[in-house]
Amino acid sequence: MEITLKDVFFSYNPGTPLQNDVLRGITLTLGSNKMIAVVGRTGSGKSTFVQHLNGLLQPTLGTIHVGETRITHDCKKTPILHDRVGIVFQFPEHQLFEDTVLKDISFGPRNLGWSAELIRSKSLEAMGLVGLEESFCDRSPFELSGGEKRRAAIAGVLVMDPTVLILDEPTVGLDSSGKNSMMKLFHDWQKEKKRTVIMVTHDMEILAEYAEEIIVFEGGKVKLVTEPLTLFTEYRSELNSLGLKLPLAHQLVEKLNTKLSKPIELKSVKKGLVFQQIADYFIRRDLN
Amino acid sequence: MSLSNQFIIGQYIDKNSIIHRLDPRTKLIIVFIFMLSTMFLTNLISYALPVLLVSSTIFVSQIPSSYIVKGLKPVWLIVIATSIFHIFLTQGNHLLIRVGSIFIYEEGVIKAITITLRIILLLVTASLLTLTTKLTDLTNGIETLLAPLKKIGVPTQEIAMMISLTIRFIPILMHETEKIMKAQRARGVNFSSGNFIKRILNFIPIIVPILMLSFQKAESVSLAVEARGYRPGMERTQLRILTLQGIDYKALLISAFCFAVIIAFRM
Repeated sequence: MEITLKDVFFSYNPGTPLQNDVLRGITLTLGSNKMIAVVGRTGSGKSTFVQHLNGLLQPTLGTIHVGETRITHDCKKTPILHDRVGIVFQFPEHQLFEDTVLKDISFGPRNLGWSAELIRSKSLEAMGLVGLEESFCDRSPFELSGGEKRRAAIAGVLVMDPTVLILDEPTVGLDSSGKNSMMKLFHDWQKEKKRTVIMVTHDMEILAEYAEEIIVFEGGKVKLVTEPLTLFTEYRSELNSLGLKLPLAHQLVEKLNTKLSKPIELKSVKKGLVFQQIADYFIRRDLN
Repeated sequence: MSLSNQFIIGQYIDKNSIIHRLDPRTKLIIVFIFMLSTMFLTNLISYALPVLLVSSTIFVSQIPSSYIVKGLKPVWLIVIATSIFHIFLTQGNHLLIRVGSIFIYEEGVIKAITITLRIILLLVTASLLTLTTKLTDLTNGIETLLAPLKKIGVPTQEIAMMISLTIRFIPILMHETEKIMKAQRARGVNFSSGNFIKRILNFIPIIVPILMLSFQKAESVSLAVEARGYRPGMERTQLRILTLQGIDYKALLISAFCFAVIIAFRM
């Protein structure tokens, strides 16, 4: 499912002294079946942008097409997209409210009016996807650990089997192993089911490891649409001004290059591959 | 439309007007006197003075009137409902219209207008107070005004602290509510459709998380203030000592005069 935006503007509190123009003319096409990262400084409009993609916010001006559905500023009824575009907010664990994990996960499908059998099997499947065992079904979501709560909340979004999944800072507040397993979950789900994942993130390591396309926001506009390797090499000099920085592996290579007679030319952004390249470089040099 | 867009009470707009520069105590006293005096208003004409007073204050405060009108939006429903009750249920001597068994009296219409005016006046004054006063100043003001009560054992500092924390948490909880509403809407809840009971039930997925969050936040705030040396009942000093300026006395005089006029009018 392709998403296109044409001249999209958005302001909070329009026509008041607190008016805040957040999006200032966005024209963009988001392809399907890939991991897209949305980055930029705090306040550059990333979160506002992604909330437009499933009709949670309506543009003040402009048009958005999500597949066949059209969202404009004068839509009387917000088009219902929640079965096709899922969104996981920052700290999704805050949205838990039912008395058991299973009931909470099946909340979305119940709203969509699925049959009881389908709801149960899909909910169990979603629990499997996020790595929660079946024994969690009847436990209260409030007695789980932080990480388990988050998984349960994410299952509550994945259960509706969205074609496009939006993640707003999905790994905030997790430790590094938690981050990796969380991202691996989304990555595997995306690859296996050939879905689109659009994630807002500040984490350059995650960006380097998982993103296939990067949209850089600046001051409510799209500054760049590129891919990770290009961003970290060709646009190296602009990174700081965009509020981004190099991933650690790249920083290491950069430091090495200042000392090396023949610099290492990076061919990848993934940490493992960068380290491999560094190792190869020195092995080859030792052999010569 | 977002929630914070609709409620203007509790928000602050930074402008450099006379109203903004008034001592918070002056503003609190004036608002109190004003709210008290609206209770003494009887007939339609007596509303002229307060309406004039409030509209000139809005003008002087440099806060766009369109913004204040917008802020009244959420209460229109209450205003209309009470007006309807007054129009149809008030008995009087001057019959205006009679449709079947429904009688509409002049008294009812006047009462509806005055009640509407009273609600709007009260709301606008309360909004003006927070729109023009920083929260810390407001707390300071409340605390100093309540200070005499300390002698008879009223925990004034705690009360001021509680009030300021409450006001401080309105925007935070509003923001969280908005976020959770969005999250649940994305999971297929439709807050604006279904019958009455369905609509009420739709709010459970919001109320439960908000309650959980408020407990969590209350706990972390209490830890945070304790970690910074706050002990209930202990003497606290202030960075900014409030002092009344000439302009404060003028404002107090004006409002005392208006109050006297309103009382005299009633006699």
